[in-house]
Amino acid sequence: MQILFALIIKEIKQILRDPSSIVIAFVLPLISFLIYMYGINLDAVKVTIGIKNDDSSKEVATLVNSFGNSKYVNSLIFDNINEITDAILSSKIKWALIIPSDFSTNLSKGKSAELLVITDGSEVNTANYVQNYAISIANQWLSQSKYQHTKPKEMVTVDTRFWYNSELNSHHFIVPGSIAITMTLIGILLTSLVIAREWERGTMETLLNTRVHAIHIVFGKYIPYFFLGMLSMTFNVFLCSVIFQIPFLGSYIMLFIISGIFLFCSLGIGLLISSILKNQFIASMVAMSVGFMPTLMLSGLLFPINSMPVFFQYLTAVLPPRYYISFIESEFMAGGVNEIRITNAFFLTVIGLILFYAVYKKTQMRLEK
Amino acid sequence: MKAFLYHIFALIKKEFITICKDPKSRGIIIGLPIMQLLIFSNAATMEVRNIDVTVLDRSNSAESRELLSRFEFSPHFRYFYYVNSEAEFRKNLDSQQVQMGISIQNDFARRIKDGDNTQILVVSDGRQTNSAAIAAGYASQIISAFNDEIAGKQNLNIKTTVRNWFNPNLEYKWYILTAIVAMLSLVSTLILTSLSIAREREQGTFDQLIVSPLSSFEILIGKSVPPLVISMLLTSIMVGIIVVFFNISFAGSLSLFFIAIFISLLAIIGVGLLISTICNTQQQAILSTMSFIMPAVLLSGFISPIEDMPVFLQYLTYINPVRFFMTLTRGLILKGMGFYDVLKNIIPLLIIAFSTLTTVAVTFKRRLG
Repeated sequence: MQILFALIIKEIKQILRDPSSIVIAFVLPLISFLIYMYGINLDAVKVTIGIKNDDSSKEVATLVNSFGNSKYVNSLIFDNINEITDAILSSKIKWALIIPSDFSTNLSKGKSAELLVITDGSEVNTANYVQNYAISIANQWLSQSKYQHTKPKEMVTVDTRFWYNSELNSHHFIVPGSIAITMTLIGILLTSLVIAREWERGTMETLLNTRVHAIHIVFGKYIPYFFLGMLSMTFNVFLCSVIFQIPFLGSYIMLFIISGIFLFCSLGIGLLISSILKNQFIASMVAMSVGFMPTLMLSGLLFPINSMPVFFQYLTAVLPPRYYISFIESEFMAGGVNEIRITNAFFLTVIGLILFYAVYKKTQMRLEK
Repeated sequence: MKAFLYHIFALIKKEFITICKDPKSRGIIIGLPIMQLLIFSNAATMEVRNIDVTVLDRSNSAESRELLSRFEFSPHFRYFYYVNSEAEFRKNLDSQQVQMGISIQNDFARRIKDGDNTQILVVSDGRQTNSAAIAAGYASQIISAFNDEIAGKQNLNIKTTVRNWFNPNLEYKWYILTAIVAMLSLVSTLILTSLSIAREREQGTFDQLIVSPLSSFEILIGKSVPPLVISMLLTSIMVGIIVVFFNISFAGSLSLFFIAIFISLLAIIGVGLLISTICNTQQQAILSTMSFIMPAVLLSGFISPIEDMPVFLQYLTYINPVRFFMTLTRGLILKGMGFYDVLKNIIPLLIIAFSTLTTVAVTFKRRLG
């Protein structure tokens, strides 16, 4: 016990001596919250469009206006197709609408009229959005235009509701979700260096010559960084609910317990990387590749796991952030759902324990070469 | 001149040896990004597929079953869980077993037969706003097609013909591949450079380098060329993979593309070396790198369009090399960007590269002791 205590004190001193790790525990959450709050918007986005109108009737001029008045688009008027091509190529506009010359004639005859929409397919998500914009703005215009009397009433109407987030504010899930990214980074990045550093500097060999057991070393690394991580977690939650006023419906106790389990996993990943690679440069390369990138791309935060091919859905099962994000979003937005808490906590615990065992085994191996 | 070349050659050789002496690190520098490229591009998509639905069909009539079968035959939806009570309906949604709920009232069939209006409740899980909105859109499309059919006549409406330029089928993979190449090159290049001087400082060899006959300029070149060569190689391999395995035809000019990558990487190397000169330990360097990478990636336009950000952040993205790097990879690979547009994106990169690299060269010697 005394040995463990000494090791923890040593580690804390080391953390205090190089304040970069403490700074990062507070700076990283701050940067990421500011970005997710103000820089990222996954909801309906405002895009600039080009309109080329070949139909000179008065009614159609109001259609052009209604595109201009929509809060989702800025419109620019073009006279010929070459200018549109150039504007799309230089990303000045994201899509273009061409109103053919027989548009109003068709409508007055009671026929369906057609609009041509050109999108910049190199930005797939925006391209998908704008198709719907065009259709809905045009049909809204139609229902208010003089052609309206021909439109039959709808028998079945849809009452669409968005539960847990009725206004579909993406900040309500992405800001809590970003806690997962910060916690992964703090857990993995900091710890991936600590054992590697000791090997690099040779202090690990000294340590292994003493009566210190592997279990002491392992706990001596886990405990101080766990506290640092939880400190950062507290700061995260403070920013999230006090400063940025993200609604929180769940229980803070559960939030901290399960965040603790998640941190335990992240520390495990970092320490495992560190004890296998024993070199700070390679360790940080790997830490970035298994820490930051998969959390961003595969955890379900930005890209839905359900839409992935089946093989990759199974692959995400080994990623702790996947469970944590599912939990934290639900805890914030739906309140406590016990099934979600239990399943995610269970998988996180299993992964965390496996990692802990692996770190322990790896540290036990002592000097090999 | 001869001495100059000799000095630089010696330093470059030494740098290559430090980076590549370890077979593990050779494998990791090239292998890890390629592995990530393959995984992320296949897994991550913003398309919404495999939506699971819970259905509360109180009508249980031919009409309601007809409507539901349309959902079942739609490629967007996957499993259907039929429930008998409101409580189960809610439970399935709460526990994220399904992403959507459809509830049909018991007078559904009667009202349609009477020609009355009837309402269907569609609930979408708002914990994932993007998917929720898209899924709700699919549902209303299906219901509106159903409406048209029971109305028995062709509605007057506006149709749109959509042409997606540069990516006719709106393959999400095409979009994400070009972004991921830029992201992965960024991560590798930054870690390679940001640790290089910090490592020498930590080990004390940087002092030796400074008292050697090498000038600041020579050290700068010696420190930039090896990462540049490795990153160029890595980026070219990744682009090769994109073109060969993902069947994306390379739309732009290959020589412009290599010039663009060269300058983008140079700007990133500038940032990396700047971080490295400021930091005294590898830990500080990696944490600073992370604090740079996260905002740089998130504010590059990859996740959320730049035009949509607050004006202040839009200006901030002008010093973000990733923004231009991504525009260039996407523009040249998918859109076949012309010389003038390429130049517009290269100039800011040149400015970033020049200002960071000069700062580095100037601060080298001042930082002694």
